[in-house]
Amino acid sequence: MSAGRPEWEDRDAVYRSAIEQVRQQRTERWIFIREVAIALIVAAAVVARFLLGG
Amino acid sequence: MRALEWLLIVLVLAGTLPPVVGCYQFALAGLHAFRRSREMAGAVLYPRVAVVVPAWNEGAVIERTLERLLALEYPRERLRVYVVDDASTDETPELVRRKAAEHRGSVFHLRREDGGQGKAHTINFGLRRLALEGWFEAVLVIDADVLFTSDSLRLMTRHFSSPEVGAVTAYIKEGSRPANYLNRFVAFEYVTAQAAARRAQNVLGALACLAGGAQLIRRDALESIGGQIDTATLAEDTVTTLKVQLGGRRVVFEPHAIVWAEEPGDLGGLWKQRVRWGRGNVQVTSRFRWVWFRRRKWGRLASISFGLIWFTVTLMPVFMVSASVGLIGLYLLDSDLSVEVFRVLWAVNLVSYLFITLSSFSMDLTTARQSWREGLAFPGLISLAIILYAAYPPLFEGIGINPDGTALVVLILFVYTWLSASMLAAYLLKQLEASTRAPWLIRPLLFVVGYGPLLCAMTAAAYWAELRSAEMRWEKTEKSGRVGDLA
Repeated sequence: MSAGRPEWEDRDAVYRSAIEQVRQQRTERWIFIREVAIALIVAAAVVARFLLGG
Repeated sequence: MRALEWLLIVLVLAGTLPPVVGCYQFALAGLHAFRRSREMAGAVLYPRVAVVVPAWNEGAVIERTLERLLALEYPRERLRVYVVDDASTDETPELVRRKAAEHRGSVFHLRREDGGQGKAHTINFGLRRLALEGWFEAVLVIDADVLFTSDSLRLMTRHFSSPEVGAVTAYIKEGSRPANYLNRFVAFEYVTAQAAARRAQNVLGALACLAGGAQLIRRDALESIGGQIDTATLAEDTVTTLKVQLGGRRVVFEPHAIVWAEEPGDLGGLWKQRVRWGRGNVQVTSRFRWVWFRRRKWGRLASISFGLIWFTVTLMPVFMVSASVGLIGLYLLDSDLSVEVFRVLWAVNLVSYLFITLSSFSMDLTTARQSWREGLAFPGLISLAIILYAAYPPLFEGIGINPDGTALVVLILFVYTWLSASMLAAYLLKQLEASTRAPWLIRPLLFVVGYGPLLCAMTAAAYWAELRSAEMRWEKTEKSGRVGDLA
């Protein structure tokens, strides 16, 4: 295997791989967005708890 | 405040380190979306891959594993499967020879007559044969029972378009079907320990461990570490991972390459497996003590972040005991102060529980649908009650729980010691499973005690085994072929 270069190129396979990678990257971005939303909800709950007192 | 009180407060706050580092790890995992992957864009790479399958009496699972490997989306002429039969006495040799005859040139049966030394030795037997043949460009070491999804291998090999990547690992998911309560706890645990933790480690640029069930190593990276797997510890996969990285290569986790595995379905089997893993981690921690926190010399593997993540997991029982000791000590010196510090400790636990649990659900929605009860009950119902009490005592007063006098003292001492006592409770639960005629009891009791305390107890048992230099036996996890047909 030559370092860093594919040994044989199949244009369709390269195209499919690129599309697949875009989809996977989108999945990762959604994970990030949901995590930020969760962090904000938890932070809001903490603030609410402090305001409640007791 | 006296020096002793400060010391005790520090001991208690040490108990907040694991949840805080856990949250940090999940925050890093979220940043995985922004890793540079331009070098992989459109990469299609099919190196010649030799799959090494160590097998000892795997008759129940080996045939299906081989069928799945042969069905991978990968050029058949670039894939060879070598089953290293470690002196099996069941139908494994016959099954493998039949497959080898059906798929000449793709499946090979390597028989080791003098076996029984453990998985690492079996793998090395296979690696020596591969080195003699000289055909392979990368080796994929797997377990005999795992089922690869059809695209998983090519998703792993594409990372080799970056020359500095020396090894890749997949996302091992718990695939027992039907899944029992323990399988579902393990499935949720793997979201935190693999999907999240390894994404975080990708972001940090250093990986702790190639999953034993799916580790793809480039040939020159393997040769750079001597061409063989380490046999001196019980954590041969972790040693391989660290050695590849210390040799200047990167090791990467591919979260979309999914491999299904059967994990133990009872506490006894899980205990043996995890004590072995825990002992391996203790051995690795000691063996690589010259690396930890020395970033300038050893790079990202020796960073503060990586070291914190490593040690908060490895030393979790120590932190739990430290917090309990600190709380009891503070109670004896100043009970009001102890209540305040107790509330801080459990407030941190509450915030981290909410963030980590909900983030885990969002990271793997499929597992969340299957294991949401186990995810919510991960710390145990007793711990959850303590968290609620610390967060909002009026809630308990409102339902009539307002002890005073002796009852209050007993309650306080119980909640202060629970972090440590929960490990003992988990151990007793494991003993109960072995002796009871009422196995139906174990499931509800585990929900009460908690799967998290069980993990800590198994880690503590690993310390004890290492301290008394127990015999290093590689006890095979029994597999029954229960991995479902999960495409």
